Amino acid sequence: MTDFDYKQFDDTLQSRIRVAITAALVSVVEADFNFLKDMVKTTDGNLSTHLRKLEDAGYVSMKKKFVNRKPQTKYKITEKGRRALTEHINILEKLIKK
Amino acid sequence: MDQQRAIEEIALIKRVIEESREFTFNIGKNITVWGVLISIAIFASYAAIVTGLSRMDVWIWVVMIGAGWTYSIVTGIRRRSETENFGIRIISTLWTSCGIAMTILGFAGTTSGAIADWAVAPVLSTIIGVGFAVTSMIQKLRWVMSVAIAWWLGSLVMFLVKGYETLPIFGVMMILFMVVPGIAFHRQWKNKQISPETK
Repeated sequence: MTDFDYKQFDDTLQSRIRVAITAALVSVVEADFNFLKDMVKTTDGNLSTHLRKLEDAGYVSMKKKFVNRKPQTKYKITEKGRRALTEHINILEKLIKK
Repeated sequence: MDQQRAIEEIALIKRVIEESREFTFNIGKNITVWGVLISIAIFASYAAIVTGLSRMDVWIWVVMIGAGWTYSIVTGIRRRSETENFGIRIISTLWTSCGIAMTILGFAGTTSGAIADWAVAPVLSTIIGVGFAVTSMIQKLRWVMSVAIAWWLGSLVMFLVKGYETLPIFGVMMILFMVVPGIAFHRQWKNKQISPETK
């Protein structure tokens, strides 16, 4: 237990919701808000807050556009976000194997 | 974070990735609409031939294929606003490519004389079989592979039968292996949407 460096964990991915968001985005080209809400199973407000944090960290990119005159927000995982999730999984596996 | 929490988090990541990969759109409606439209065109063409009105009424096909493409384009534009994963992208591209290939073969192939009118049915059946086979693999639906095989077997039968008698065979196949699977796809998709496992 003592030889495991807990500082290895990425601060942004300390939240399970943010981990779930990045995991949901990793296997899609891009996703809308409702899809993420369905995958992560949280409230609109909570999801928005966590998406903002992921955007600030550069893990998720957001694109707003109009489809059939309706505003549409799409989210995409960035390369930085993909790397962070992979690293997070590696650390979790190390902790399990310890 | 302790080991138990790490195990739980890995399980969460795995579940979300799997659910996200399995997310799909409802291809059932598109398949059903195309199946109904082509069935109408087939039986109308056959009726025109039997009654001696014309050999192959091209206009019936123009109207039905035009209606099919209009429907697919409109629903495709609407779907652009939704989530897209790689499976959805492959299935959309696959069926669009099959549709383009069939439209070219059906119109340019026959009007140029390169393909005999009656031979269009077995040729198109082989292409539809490819569409269902790839869909079966992507969506992990074994029963859809049986539909693909049925299309290929039907194609062989029609090549053996030859002549305009292939049309009623093609029409029945269209209902059994396009409209019926389309309805099944739609039902399966709807059940998945309301299943508590996915919520």
